[in-house]
Amino acid sequence: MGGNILSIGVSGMMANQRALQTTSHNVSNANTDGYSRQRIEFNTRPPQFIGGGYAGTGVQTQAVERIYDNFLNNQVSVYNSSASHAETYARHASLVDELMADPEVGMMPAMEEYFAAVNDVSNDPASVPARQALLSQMETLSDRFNYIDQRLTNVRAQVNTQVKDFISEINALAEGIATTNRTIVNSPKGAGAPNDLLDERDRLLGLLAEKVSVTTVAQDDGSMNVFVGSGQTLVVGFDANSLEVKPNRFDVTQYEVGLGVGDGTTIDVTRQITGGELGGVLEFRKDLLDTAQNQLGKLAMGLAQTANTQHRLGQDLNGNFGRDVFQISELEVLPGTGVANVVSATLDDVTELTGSEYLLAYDGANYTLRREIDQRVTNLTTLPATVDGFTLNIGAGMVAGDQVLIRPTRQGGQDIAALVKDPREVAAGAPVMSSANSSNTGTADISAGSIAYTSNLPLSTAVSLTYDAGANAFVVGGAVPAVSPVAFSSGASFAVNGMEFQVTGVPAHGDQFVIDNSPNSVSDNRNMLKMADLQTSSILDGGESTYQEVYGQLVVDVGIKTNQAVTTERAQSNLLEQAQKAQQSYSGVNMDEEAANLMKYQQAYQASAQVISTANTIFDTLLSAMRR
Amino acid sequence: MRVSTSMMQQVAVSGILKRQADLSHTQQQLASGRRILTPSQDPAGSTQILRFEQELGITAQHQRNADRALSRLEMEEGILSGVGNALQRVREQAVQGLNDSNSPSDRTAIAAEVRQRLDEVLNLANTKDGSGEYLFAGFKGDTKPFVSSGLGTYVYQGDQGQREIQISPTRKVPSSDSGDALFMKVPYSGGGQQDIFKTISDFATALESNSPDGNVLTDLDAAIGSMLDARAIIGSRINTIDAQRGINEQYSVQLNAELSKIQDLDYAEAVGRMNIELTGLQASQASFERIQNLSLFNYM
Repeated sequence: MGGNILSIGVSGMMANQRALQTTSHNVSNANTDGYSRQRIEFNTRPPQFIGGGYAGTGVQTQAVERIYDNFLNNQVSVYNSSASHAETYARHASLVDELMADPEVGMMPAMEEYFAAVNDVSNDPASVPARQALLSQMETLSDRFNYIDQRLTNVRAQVNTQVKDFISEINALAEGIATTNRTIVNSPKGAGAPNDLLDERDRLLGLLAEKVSVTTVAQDDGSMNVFVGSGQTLVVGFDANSLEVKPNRFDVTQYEVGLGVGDGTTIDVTRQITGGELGGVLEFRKDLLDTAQNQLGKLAMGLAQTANTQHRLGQDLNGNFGRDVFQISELEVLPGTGVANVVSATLDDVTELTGSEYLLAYDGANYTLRREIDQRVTNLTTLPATVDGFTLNIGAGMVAGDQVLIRPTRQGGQDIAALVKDPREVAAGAPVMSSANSSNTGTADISAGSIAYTSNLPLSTAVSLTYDAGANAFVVGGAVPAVSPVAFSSGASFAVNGMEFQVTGVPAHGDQFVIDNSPNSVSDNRNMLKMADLQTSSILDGGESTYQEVYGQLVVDVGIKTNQAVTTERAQSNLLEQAQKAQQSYSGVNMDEEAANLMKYQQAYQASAQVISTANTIFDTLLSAMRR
Repeated sequence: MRVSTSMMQQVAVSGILKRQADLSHTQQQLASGRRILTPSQDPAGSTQILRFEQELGITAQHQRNADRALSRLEMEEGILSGVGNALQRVREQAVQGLNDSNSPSDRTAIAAEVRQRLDEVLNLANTKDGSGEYLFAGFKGDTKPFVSSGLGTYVYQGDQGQREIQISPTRKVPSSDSGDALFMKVPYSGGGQQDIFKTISDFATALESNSPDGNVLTDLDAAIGSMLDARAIIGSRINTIDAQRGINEQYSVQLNAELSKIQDLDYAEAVGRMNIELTGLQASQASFERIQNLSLFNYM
């Protein structure tokens, strides 16, 4: 009897000691990442049948249970992926966002100062300082394009570094999970679950979810299979697959995500990667960075080419036609790895460029050109062909199945440069001049004229326009090639060999106007006025947008995407916090609770000790009775 | 609901961090005076800002252009007025010289004076502007427009170019006049047109040979009249520019007001917001401190 009580007391002491141990473990791990609180489960020991009934035999610990809910933990993992995805996207987008509309380094101030300088030359075309100022503003403008493009390129390099870093972190985590799988599976069976190992694996999975979105499938043996992105196998049992840095098949300077498929080859799984920091940085690059750099390039090329076209119609102080003022980028064509470099692209009409990238594919019979911005597919039966302002040329034939990436505007911002260095070469004037004959008796006047093309200039002889009242037309003399009489209508434009004029008023029969080369016309500002007009002309995007509007669109596009990312980040981190609260509410350690438990188990332990002491007393009593 | 102790701390800390971020944003707004610090904070507003700023820039440029045009035209007007005065003086001398009471030597003396006036008119017609361009040479600003090619013969070496200056998005005004129309094509009593210089020179020659022709008065009147006409045209251009300057100025004010509405911070609102945020931050810090001190372990 006394022995039984003793044994009951001992069982109580042992059980409560385990409980104190568990509580202490909880207290000490209160701040351990991924730790789930543990709870000890007691039950009664099997009762003993003694004569008239069953007598209790004490307590035993059944298990140390991990307070864990799979659903709650999954929620945390899911929101972890989406929150860190949004956070990474927003962090990178903000870099571009701040750059674009910076009042000091953005494009707008440079464009405005350039056009101010154009205006100043038009106000004072003979002034060499004004011309010099224009040349330096052209350089400043080019430099600003180069600078912003360089900043975007730096961000691109940073993205590459991050892709590389994230991939190695993911691989390390995959290794860790596979190792933990092995330890869990190999841990002694029948001794309850290896709680702390399970927590450790969950912690690794949580870290993995921060890098990339994760799905898990628990196996019967206790191991966990892990898939990333849209189902790419990362961990199966004890084996970890590894992601690899894979150069883009078109642009080897750009890192993509590869996955080994077992036979030594890797496939590009970039498009399948979603969520987490890796997904965020990849989406930022594709969605925002590529677009921003292409659009910046489109603006640079558009501004350069339209300025060049107008400048070539003018005449400089040396009496020559203006030459190109800006260098324009070559159109980038990237044949895929192992594809022959047979396609080239040339600029056709800068005002039609879209800023998209294009994928050219050949199936053995036809070419298809996919515009990446909206996935519009154009079927081309033959090359060369002109699409969206550029012409695709082909040397030798493409091989069936080959693909070529065309990025018409990617290098526009990087390559623009100011070409004119001599202030005398600013073509402020126009190459021809019209005048009324001094013997005219009518009241008609001729406009100074504008130039549409210069292929018939300079004039070999002066061109005369003589009014024939009977025919109400001007007979054109001296034009090469010859021009038939031009009907007269006051104020209406008419063209003579690429020059356009208006005659207003009432000419008398025989009145004559003369068009001649205009040498030494240092005060002529006609071409600069037209250069200045470009600032407010809707010429880009197929005649829809001014330069400022193209840039404004770029700024608003970056702004909206950044704004969305920031908003998403806030929403996702709130959701994450709620999921964490719910998960922690269930699995987290509460110190007060543990303190209470400590007291509770301590008291129970002391009481059990008292039971032993009581059993001892009972035994002593018995012994002393016997002694009498 | 049970709460985990570490979560309690985490939530409190993240609340404090959020409040600090809000406060820092408000502080940046107050420091810069700008409501929108980066385009993402108001993408649509940001493009409007870009557009208004460009409009403001262009309008300011048009004002500068208008100033340039004004100074050129005022200079031109002054010179034509000088030419008119000189012609008036020649006319007075003509009236005097035509008087039959003059002896041949009197007339020679008058002729010398007339030739001085001729030089004056020729010099005025060949005036250069501030940047060294001949004012009346059309586009050939570095070519001397009026030269004598023998006694009483003058040629115009400029062209008929007339420079225009942009003073509004839709308006260009001529800021120069070709000397050809001003000085070379004046109606002539003998029929057709004749240049002013020849008219004066011929009259001086006639005086020197003691045979002045009364028609010179008609010709001088025509020349004076054409100066007045030209000045009237220049005056009306100056008026146009003045009017456009007023419009541009008003437009700038309007643009600035619009820009300010989008871009500028409402200080009263921002300061109020900052006070609320400060209170919030202090409250969360204080409550964090209080809650952290609560633990059952303190009583064991």
